[in-house]
Amino acid sequence: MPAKMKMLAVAIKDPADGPGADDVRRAQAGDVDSFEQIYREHSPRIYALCLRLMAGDAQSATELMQDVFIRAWRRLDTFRGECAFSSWLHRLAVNVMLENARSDGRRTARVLPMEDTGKLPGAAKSSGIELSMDLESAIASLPRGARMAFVLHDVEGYQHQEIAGQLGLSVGTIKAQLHRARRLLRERLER
Amino acid sequence: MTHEVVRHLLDDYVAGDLTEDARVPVLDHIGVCAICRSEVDDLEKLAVQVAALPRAVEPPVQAWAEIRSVIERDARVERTVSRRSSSRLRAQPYALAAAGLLVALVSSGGTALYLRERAAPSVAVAPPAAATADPAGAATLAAFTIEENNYLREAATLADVLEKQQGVLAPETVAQLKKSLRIIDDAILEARNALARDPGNRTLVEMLSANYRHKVDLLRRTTEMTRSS
Amino acid sequence: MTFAFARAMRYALTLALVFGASTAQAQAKFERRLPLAMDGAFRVHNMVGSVTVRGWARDTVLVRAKLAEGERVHMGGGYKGAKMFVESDDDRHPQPTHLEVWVPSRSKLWVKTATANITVTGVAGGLDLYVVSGNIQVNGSPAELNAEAIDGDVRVTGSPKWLRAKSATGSVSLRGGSTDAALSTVSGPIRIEGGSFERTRAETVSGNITFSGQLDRSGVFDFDSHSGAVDIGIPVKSSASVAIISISGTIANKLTNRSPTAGKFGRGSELNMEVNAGGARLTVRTFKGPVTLRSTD
Repeated sequence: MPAKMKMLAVAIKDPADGPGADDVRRAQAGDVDSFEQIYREHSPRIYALCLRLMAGDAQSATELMQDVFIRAWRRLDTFRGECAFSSWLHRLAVNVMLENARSDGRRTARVLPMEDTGKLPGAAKSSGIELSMDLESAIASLPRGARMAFVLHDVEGYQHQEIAGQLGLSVGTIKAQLHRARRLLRERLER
Repeated sequence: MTHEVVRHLLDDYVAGDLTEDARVPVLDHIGVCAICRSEVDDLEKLAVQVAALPRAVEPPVQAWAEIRSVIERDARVERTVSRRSSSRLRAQPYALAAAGLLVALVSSGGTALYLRERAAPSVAVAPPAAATADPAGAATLAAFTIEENNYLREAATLADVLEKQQGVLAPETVAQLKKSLRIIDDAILEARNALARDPGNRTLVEMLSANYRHKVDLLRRTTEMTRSS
Repeated sequence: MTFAFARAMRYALTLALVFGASTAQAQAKFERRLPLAMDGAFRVHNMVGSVTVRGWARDTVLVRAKLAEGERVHMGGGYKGAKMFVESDDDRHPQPTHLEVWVPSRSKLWVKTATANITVTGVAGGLDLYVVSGNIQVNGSPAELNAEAIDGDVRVTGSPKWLRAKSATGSVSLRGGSTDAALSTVSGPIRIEGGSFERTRAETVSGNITFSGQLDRSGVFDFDSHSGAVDIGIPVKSSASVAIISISGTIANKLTNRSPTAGKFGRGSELNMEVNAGGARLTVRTFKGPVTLRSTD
């Protein structure tokens, strides 16, 4: 019988104390250079999350990521250390993305699933993702609700309850979206 | 457990989310059902692929510079707002009711901040006595000043960005843009003067908010359009 | 033939050859097709010239263009999503490129230009159209339409279910109905006419707003202006709860016999009334723009 596999992301170590925590404290006191260290440490994870939430659209993902860090700077004083800083930042990224999607009634469903855009001659930006183009493209092509549930649960390791809380949906709906996402991915990867 | 029941539990089974009571019968069923076994295999293969996805991707090199410039602009705007507020305070050493003081701060400091290119307009400021006679009005105005400061900050930030990007726009478009901003600024000034005379007027607060939203929206749209041009 | 004449002829012929070659280069034809799913996504970037898009019943994108010298078209992508852009040798002074594009009728389309006009006909998926100083014209009834200009006009003929249309100094007009429409300008006029509406919002600073249409009984309608005039025309049998307020402007009620009352502190006017026992919620607010409520019958 095949062994069960837990689809959890690897947690980033974020010690309660140490250089990372010092940077947070100094940034909270207004030190922009310390905030830059925070950015250097956390931006690759946040950018990967943004890229997948924005269906592989590098420009939108960059703007979303910048928005996340600007909001993080403005709300740094609300971080009290009750959770890891990376978790706080992650939640902020999802909230910012949802807010941007809601603002002015526009929906990120119109974010386009692009395939092979990195191969366009003269293309100024590349996604930066070099591995698993097939799976990444397949994730990018998922309908928005299924994509968000899949990225947050299967890729980023959030629990059903957490995702339901952040997206304002029931756990049942999240599970249904996950099921749909996995089915669609399997179909598309088989092609 | 029937096949119909088990097939809805396979996702949870593969993710390890089933209790022991549910896991055992699912396992038994998988042992005798080729369809469910194949589905479990597919889900596990997908899980392996997902586990191999990179968790971190380097963002574009220029991303930090843009974040930093926004942070530094925020700091400049905060210093300007705070400087103008203090200078207004120093000019009125006598004791003022909180509402009256707020009206004075909003009317002079806020106005001068966003009307950069114009001579300081003569702004009608309600006398403190009129404001203190209406506590509800003072509360309305107090709540609005927080919102107004946010608008002012956002508009100043966007205006700075746009100033740097102006070279991308045709001169006629720049002229139309400036014309639009003057129209909005005039409307803001009129509404604020009216609000200073009638601080409890919620309709005026909403109208003033709407004008600020026009300004921020126009600046944001133009900035976004020129950024990627 | 004299020597001088022959020399003149050779000179003229040389000029024709040079000019002809340049013209041929400046008018290089481009045509390319890409497979695209009927509900696929297509993105177009063309700074100067025009973009004319038509929806059709094929799962293919077809692009045709006449390219000026120094301009090139790039296209690529997959079955679910593709994009194209016009690249110029001289980014500061791009030459106009006139694009004709056919896309699957249910596709999601995103177009961005600077001074190029955008015209879209028969595309029923989602539309995102952005222009700085060109005009946008949409014919048809897309499920979603977002159209933004800075100093160009936005004209929609059809009934998009969800509509957001904005310009600063240009006009915004909708001829048709909508379930959820929001139109906004700074000084350009806003015109809405000829259809049935459920949620409508029109806001301007100094432009005029003209509305003429049918109000859904459970609909919500908001019209805001600082100094522009607001003219609302509805059928006399409409069922609506009307609330009109102007801080220092006038209100003219030509729909019913009810007269506006003086506003607070004796300034401006207000008009609150139930028309045919109420129903749709109609709210108009101006700072000093005059308001007229009339019948379209």
